[in-house]
Amino acid sequence: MRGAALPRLVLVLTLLGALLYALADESWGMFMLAAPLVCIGSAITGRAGARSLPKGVGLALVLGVVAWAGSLALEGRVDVSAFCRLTLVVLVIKFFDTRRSRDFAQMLVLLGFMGVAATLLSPRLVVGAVLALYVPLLAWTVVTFQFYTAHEIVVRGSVGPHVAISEPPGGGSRRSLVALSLACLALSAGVASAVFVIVPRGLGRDFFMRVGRYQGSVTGFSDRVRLGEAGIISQSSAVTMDVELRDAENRLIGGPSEIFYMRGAVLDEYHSGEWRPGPRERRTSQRHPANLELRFAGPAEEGQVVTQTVTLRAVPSEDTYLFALWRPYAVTLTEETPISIDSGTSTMEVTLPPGRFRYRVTSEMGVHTPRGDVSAPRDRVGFPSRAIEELARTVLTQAGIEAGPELRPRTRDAEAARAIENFLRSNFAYSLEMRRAPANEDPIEWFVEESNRTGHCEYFASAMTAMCRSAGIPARVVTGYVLAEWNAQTNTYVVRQSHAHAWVEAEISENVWREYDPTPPGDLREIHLRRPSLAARVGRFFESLEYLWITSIVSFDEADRSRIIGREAGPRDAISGDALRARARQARRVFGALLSGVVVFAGAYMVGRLGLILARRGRPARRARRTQDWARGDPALEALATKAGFYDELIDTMRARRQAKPEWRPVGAHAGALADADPALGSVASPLARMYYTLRFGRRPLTEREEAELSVLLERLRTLNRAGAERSATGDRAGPPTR
Amino acid sequence: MTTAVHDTRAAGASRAGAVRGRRSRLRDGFTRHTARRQRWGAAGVLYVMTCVFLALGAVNAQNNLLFLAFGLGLGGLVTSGLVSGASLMGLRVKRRQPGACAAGEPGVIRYEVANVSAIMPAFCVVLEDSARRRRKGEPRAELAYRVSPALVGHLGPRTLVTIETSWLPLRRGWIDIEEMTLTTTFPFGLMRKTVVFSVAARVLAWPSRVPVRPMLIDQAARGARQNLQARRGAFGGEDVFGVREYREGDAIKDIAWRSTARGQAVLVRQRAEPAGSRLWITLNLSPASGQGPGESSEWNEPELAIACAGELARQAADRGLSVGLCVTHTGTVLPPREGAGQSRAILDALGAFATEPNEPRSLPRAFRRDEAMVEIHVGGAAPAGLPGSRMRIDVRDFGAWCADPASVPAILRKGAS
Repeated sequence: MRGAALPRLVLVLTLLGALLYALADESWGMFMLAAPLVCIGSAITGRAGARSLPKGVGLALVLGVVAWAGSLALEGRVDVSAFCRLTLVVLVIKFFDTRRSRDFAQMLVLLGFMGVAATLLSPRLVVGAVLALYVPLLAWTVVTFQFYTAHEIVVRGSVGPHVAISEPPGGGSRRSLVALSLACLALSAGVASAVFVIVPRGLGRDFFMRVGRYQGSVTGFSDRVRLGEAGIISQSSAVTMDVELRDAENRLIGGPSEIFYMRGAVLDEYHSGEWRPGPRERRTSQRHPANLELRFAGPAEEGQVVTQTVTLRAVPSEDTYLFALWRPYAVTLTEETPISIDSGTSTMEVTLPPGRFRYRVTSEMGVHTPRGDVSAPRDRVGFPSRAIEELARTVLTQAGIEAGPELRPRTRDAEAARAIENFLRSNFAYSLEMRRAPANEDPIEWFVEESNRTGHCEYFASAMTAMCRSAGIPARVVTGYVLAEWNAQTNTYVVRQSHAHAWVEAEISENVWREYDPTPPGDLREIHLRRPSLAARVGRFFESLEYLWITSIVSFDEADRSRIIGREAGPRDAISGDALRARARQARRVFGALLSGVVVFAGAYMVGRLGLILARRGRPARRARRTQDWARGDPALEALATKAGFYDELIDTMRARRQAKPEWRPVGAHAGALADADPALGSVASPLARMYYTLRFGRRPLTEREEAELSVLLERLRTLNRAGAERSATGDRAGPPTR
Repeated sequence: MTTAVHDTRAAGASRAGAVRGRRSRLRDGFTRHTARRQRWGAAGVLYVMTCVFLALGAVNAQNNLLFLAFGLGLGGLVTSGLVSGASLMGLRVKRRQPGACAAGEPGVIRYEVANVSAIMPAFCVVLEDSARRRRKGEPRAELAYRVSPALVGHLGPRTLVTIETSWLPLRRGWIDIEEMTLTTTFPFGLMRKTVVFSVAARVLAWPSRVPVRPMLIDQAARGARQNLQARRGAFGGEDVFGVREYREGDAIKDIAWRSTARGQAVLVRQRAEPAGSRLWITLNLSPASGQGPGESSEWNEPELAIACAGELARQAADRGLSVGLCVTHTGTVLPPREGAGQSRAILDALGAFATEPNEPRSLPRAFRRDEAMVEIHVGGAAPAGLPGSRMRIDVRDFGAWCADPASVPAILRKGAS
């Protein structure tokens, strides 16, 4: 209960903080560098009597870090990650610095900031789990620090031989402290939960500036398809989103045997092996308030209504697609966000900060009645490839369907599209092997004619789209994800990067688009379903936990809050509109000016401190000044005082051997009293004290014999000093050194 | 360096009786706090600022983890306030009357701290005995004493602890100890909370210990013996009752050469004082009539003289002499007596009286010729009525009386408190 464990706790906490940063920033370089340095610094300076960095050097290093921060600021590269790196460097320096309570306090403050910064860097479960360990450990270390400082106050303030510290016998006090700490933790957690739930969400976003955004991520999805290049083909099992499906009666839909297609981008322009979105003439953009349903198509009448709650775990970039089952007609966002909806293709794009995002979208499935007013005229449909056209004609003729669009009634388009889909499914094989078409050949032609009829989903979708268009059926490539992996723990579909997929939508009658997937279905299941191994089960369990973490903590929103406190969520246009944003710009300037002021002040302070230290180093040493206090003003005494430097060595040795001289006791009397407590020191201290008195009060220089004796005594004194320091290092772990 | 703490739990015969016994024991004689203070420390201010920034950051970024961190910060603040306040509210204090001790020498002071709370333990409480805060308009009082702070690491519910710590009087005289405080920064050091207890006590600080040459007492005693011989006309008893190690100032003729030759240290014979040896210590604090030895100018001479008188009284009592005190400018007279009680009485008298300049008073009685006298003065003229066979010590002349000038406590210097 004296806080003796504080240095060890600070060491563990620093290592944990470095680990936290490494996990949050997903960069292990600093951790690999800082962890051994911190351990070495702790081993070197943790011993009692050990030497630390000279004050000027420590300050100069910290000043260097400030200069580094300044240079980053000038380059505009100060972000949370840089802050963490700077903090970690300062912590490493502090481990080589002195170990007074003030230093520990500074380290604890920095470690607190590390924890806060980590929350800004990553919302991942593993970061949260380490934080759940880090925060209580930090609190416990702070509590230990209180004991440490209190012990130091008592030891330093002692005026006599007694250092009064009440420590009841047994481990009862530790148990009591642990119990109280747990109660405190529970209370703090309760308050934190209450604050977490009560504080309204959605107000004041980006009021000051955009800081601490989570990093973007590669998701596997892309709104460009370049045949023969990586594109959406990803074998990463990283989870991109979780999707919960419910029907109109709010019943869960889905299961391990059901597959759904979550469409994102619609690619309807083809040029030199690349599919891209075409011009969106029906596109409208608006800033949509949070928790307000936005309908952009007619209501469902015939089809099955499915509500999808999508939790994006990793938003790849600021402008991203919202994924939905075909055909979406309403969306509800949990944050006020700019949204662009193209009613022609029913695609939705939003502008989001990278990180997590949740939304709900409602679709009607199996609809046959057209709902839009856009149709592709048949005379404009086609594909500029003779080979593809021939193949489509052959396939349709074999299926008994008129190949020419002018001969075939519109009602048989669905049949024709299905025939093409079946042809590709049964005559081509799926492969993830990335094969590139020769430079002078069209990749689709190459796929259907020369590639041994193997390829991945992009080739299949491209081939079917091209063949449909050749046959006069409007068609487009759609990219998105396949919902194939059912998580029974959370009753959601887990969508991984490897689940990115491309398929086809064809207009089977006027304004009626239907989905087709020409990729062989057996291969598709084989690829998108995980093997039921032990590792997969463990991984799925962890993903379930992460899903719960994200949905209940990270993506907690106004709707969740309203559900808990029993109030309907609604838009807040009046408060969170542009007026607030305009005011924010002004506040941002003030905040920036204040921040600059703080940085300038901190820099000036550090420079001043360093200058002061350097100036002090130029003067006679503090030790010499202390010795000469009693001699000042008397030239004869001053000459004698220069010979009395051994007095300070004596005092230092007494302190090192835990026999510090109280202020109130003359050195001669103290040396005499040491005869019992430390005979070795006493035998040296008494003659040295006599010599000191000879110089100071006898006012005479030492004789030659005394000088010789002094040199012998000083040798012995230095030996005792070293031994005292080692003894303190090895034997005394009870608390800070007595001063 | 020792830690002298006794932790006791109040107990009773039966369970109900135990509770009653504990409660009554924990309340009897214990003082409840009279005031509370709380002060934000740098850590607390930084913590609050961080919480504010967390809140702003959470709102700005709409980051739920920051909302959670802000909630935890707020929870820590609430918890800290509740725990530190509740743990201090249940504490009661009793201070045992400290014994007299010499100024500049640490003495022992004991406290009992009780926690009357039924559920709340106290942790990391620092006990400090401090002079009462100066009220507005009051003159600045000089610091009269210091007390080592004590740490109560843990005090469970309905438990009391006895703490023994050191106190250091910084001047001679009556010292009023008024306030003591219990302070804690537990659990997170955000706020320094203090409860103040008014537990008044008055303690007498004796004069400081100074290294007086032992031979002064020997010389004075010899004078007393000569006086006695002259009066009795016969040789008084000077029986040797033992030997001791040589001390500076011992006469060479007293060295026990044979014993010295057998051992390593120089030994001297110790003689029993003849019955009836009476020594007066006379303290003459009349101001100096002329310039004395220069080196005494930095010293508070009256206090030095009092300290010297006190030390002589101690040494004389230790030698078994009947010792008395006469303070000329106050007329204080303690007739010579033997024993430790007389030594304490003299030290009490020396500790208690004031040293304001005063006209020398006439001595209350004539001194007997067979009594020895040591007159300690600060350069003033010898008062009338003193017998001729006396030793005069001018405290400004350190060489005459001080065995080790470096060991003279600094609190006897001018300006020292």
